[in-house]
Amino acid sequence: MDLTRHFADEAQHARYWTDCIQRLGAEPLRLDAAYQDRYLEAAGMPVNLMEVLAITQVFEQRVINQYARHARAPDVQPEIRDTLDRIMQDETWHLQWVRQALVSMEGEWGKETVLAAIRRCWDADQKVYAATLSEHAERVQHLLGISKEAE
Amino acid sequence: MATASDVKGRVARLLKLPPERLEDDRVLTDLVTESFVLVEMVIELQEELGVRVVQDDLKDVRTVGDLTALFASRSQ
Repeated sequence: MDLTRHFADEAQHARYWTDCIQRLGAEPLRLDAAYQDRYLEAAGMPVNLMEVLAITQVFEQRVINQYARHARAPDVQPEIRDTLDRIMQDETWHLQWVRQALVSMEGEWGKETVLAAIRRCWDADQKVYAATLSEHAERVQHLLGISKEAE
Repeated sequence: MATASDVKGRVARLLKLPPERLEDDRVLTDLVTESFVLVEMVIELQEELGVRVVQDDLKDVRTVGDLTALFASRSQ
């Protein structure tokens, strides 16, 4: 039941971002690949519910950290800050729920197996985040280059 | 306890594919392009057979035959 609510919240978050982008006068672009796809590439496909929750825990932690950092940035538009705050409220209980569910699975899978799955996901998270940051830096450099040429 | 043939029947049902398409040497990702469908099928299969597998167990599984052999051996 809670997991279903969790999934429903995630779908709702996409709606919040669509609304936010439109309120700011833009239209959302359809993405060919999501950030999550990179996780699956790096961590491998989960093959049981415990591994699904392990990758979810690591991903949600990354989302909360990134959103909190974004919300603290100077000059964030109020619409964006409101959307970040709204989503972070959901993500906080998601994360608590997933952590608790993983602890409750230790009896079935063994604590070491659960921790190994989480560790594998953390490693994947570090790789994906580093690659994404590097791409972001390249884009910013590219945009700075364009704006200098225009001056 | 499930035989390879029993496992194959379950895989066909879960993937909603005719059993004759599930030749042993058929690569799983050729049968189903959406990887989440494969994940759901593997999770359902574990629940139906009372078997537990982790990612490492499936690292060498590429074909229908690999998958059915793994689950048949685990359900012994």
